[in-house]
Amino acid sequence: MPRPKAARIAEFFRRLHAHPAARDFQEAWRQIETTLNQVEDELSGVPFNPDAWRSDGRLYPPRLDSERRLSGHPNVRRFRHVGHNTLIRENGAIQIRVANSEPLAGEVLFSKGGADGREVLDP
Amino acid sequence: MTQIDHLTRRLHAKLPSANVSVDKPLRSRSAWTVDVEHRDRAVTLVWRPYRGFGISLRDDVSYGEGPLEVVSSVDDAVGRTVELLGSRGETRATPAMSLAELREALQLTQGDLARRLGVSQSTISELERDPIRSKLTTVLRVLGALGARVEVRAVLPDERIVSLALPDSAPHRK
Repeated sequence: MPRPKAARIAEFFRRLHAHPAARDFQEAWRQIETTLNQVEDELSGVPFNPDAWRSDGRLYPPRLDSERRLSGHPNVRRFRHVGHNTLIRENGAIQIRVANSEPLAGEVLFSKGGADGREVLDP
Repeated sequence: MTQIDHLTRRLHAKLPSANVSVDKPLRSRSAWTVDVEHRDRAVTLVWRPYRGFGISLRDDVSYGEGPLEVVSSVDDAVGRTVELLGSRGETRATPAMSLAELREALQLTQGDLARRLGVSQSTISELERDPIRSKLTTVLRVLGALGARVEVRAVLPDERIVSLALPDSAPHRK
């Protein structure tokens, strides 16, 4: 029986927190991608469709071509979903925020530091 | 002028008090995002060349979810955005329905539908049980008898979206 989206997102966040802190951007990216895809494979009831454009009921990790600029933080990369931003710092820190016309004004839904202990927006 | 330029100009004209901001991708052929914030509501439009405009109320969409509604023209995108921001409406992904579910949603029996089409009730039963075996023209006749207007959109190899003109399949009513 597929589980509701809110429950799947909560499980995604739980598993992402449970991973060891990532050491760099690539490791953080892989953690987000594989964790969300695993949760959706197990709990969504919707098969993965790499060509998905419109909502098909499944939740997809950010795409590399969704990258946007982020002023003032040259070591942080921002990736845009319809309603959210995923920020990944070069030290592996991850932050997921509700989208806003000011990218850093959106509510923080998930935050985890990199292996060096620093968070996404730490100095 | 690009589609995004057209869209933002029209949005500014229709919603002069809204905050309309473009979130541009680093790669210009990737999806562009336009956020429209008006009072306590926000709509996000996503535009990808040749794929149309995805529209979602920001509160309706979950992390990792694609746009809930898709329209092909700037006019439709602007109209739907204004509607969502002004009318307290919701975006909803259109659920898939079987022919039987559609008939029941319209509170018709198989007998009612059979009479409209001039066929037997068992024909309708068979069609609903296994629509794949039926001809497309038959399915179109059934949808026409249910009062539905059928639209078919095709995505071409260059990713343009075109609407196909279909013959009017609705039975004439007295």
